[in-house]
Amino acid sequence: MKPLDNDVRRITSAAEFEQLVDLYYRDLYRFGLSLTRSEADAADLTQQTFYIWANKGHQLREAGNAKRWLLTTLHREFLQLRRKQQKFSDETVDEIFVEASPNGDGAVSRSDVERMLDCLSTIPETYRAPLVLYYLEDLAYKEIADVLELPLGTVQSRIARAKSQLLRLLNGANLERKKESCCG
Amino acid sequence: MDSDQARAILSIYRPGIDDNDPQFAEALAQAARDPELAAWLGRHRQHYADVRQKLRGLAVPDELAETIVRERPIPFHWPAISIPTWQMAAAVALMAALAGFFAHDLSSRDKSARNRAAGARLTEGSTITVTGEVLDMACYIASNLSGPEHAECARTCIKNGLPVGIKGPDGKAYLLVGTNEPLNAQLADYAAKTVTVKGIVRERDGFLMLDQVTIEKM
Repeated sequence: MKPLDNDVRRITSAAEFEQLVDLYYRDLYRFGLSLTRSEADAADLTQQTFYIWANKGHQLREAGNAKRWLLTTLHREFLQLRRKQQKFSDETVDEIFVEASPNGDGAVSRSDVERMLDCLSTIPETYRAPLVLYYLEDLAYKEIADVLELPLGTVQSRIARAKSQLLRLLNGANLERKKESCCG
Repeated sequence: MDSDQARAILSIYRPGIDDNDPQFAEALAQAARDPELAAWLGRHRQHYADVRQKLRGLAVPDELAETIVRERPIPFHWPAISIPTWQMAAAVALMAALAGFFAHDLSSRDKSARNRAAGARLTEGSTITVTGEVLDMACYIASNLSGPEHAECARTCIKNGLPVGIKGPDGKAYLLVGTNEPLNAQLADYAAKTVTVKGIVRERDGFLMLDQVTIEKM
């Protein structure tokens, strides 16, 4: 399947739209899940992003990069969702499902991922989005800045701060885990 | 550049992605000279790889792509088969001409004829049921296109958001509108086919519309 990452064509048919969805829905969902820590919200954000694409994606002719456009849109929708959710403090946190990895080297356990998402969710949102893109995507810093509509320097400083915060949180979480396993 | 400065710069370095980014070149060279910094960089790489692996290992619901593509009505913009500008302009011009004709027609008739016309007119606000062909109103008004040979074009136009209508057995064509929502998604696949709809009659300047339409039979 031909990647559309640098494609400047319009998506002109249902088949091409399906191809676009197939290429990027996983990346968008994981970005959404890392931002929201909610499976339902991540799915909604992904759907909404493609819905907006179907309505406005044709404007991409000049912009030229489908994936960046989709990530930017999802991030905007996330910020909008957060503003709405702040009105309702009793939101439920969905269960996170983790891909079943084969046992052995490199296996990612469910609890590891949950711990990671827990730690990410405690990082302020303005820092979380650049940090998630830093880890998740193969984007250059300039591209991350474009996606988040922030200056390059701001993105880099936020990533640096958020990363050291995440490290502290993960170390703390690991310490807790060790205590639990030692002391029951 | 000393090792502390290099470490600060390398704190956001991503192996494989930032290798060609010139902002890291000097700091990487410093790490190659300083074993302590090199060891720190090794741990940094490992941490980056661990977190990345976890985030990229997040499971994605199997049915999500299907849901996005199939279950949500998506109004595509299909430039290759969109209505040409001249055709849209012709539709607008024709609609304006029709409106003018009706206005002129009504004003020029004598009072009794006008009363007869008013009597024959549908009652504004009444709920009626119409069985007829689903029309793409743009092509129908602009070019008088309808019927099975025009079904594919009509389906595309309706899917793209152009006005959808119905033509009853009495020859009257109605614009169809749901309850504050378009009906294009529901009716696109029934373009040029016969359906039964129920709605409230609205009339303005000779144009007929069914409002708050419910689809009774497809």
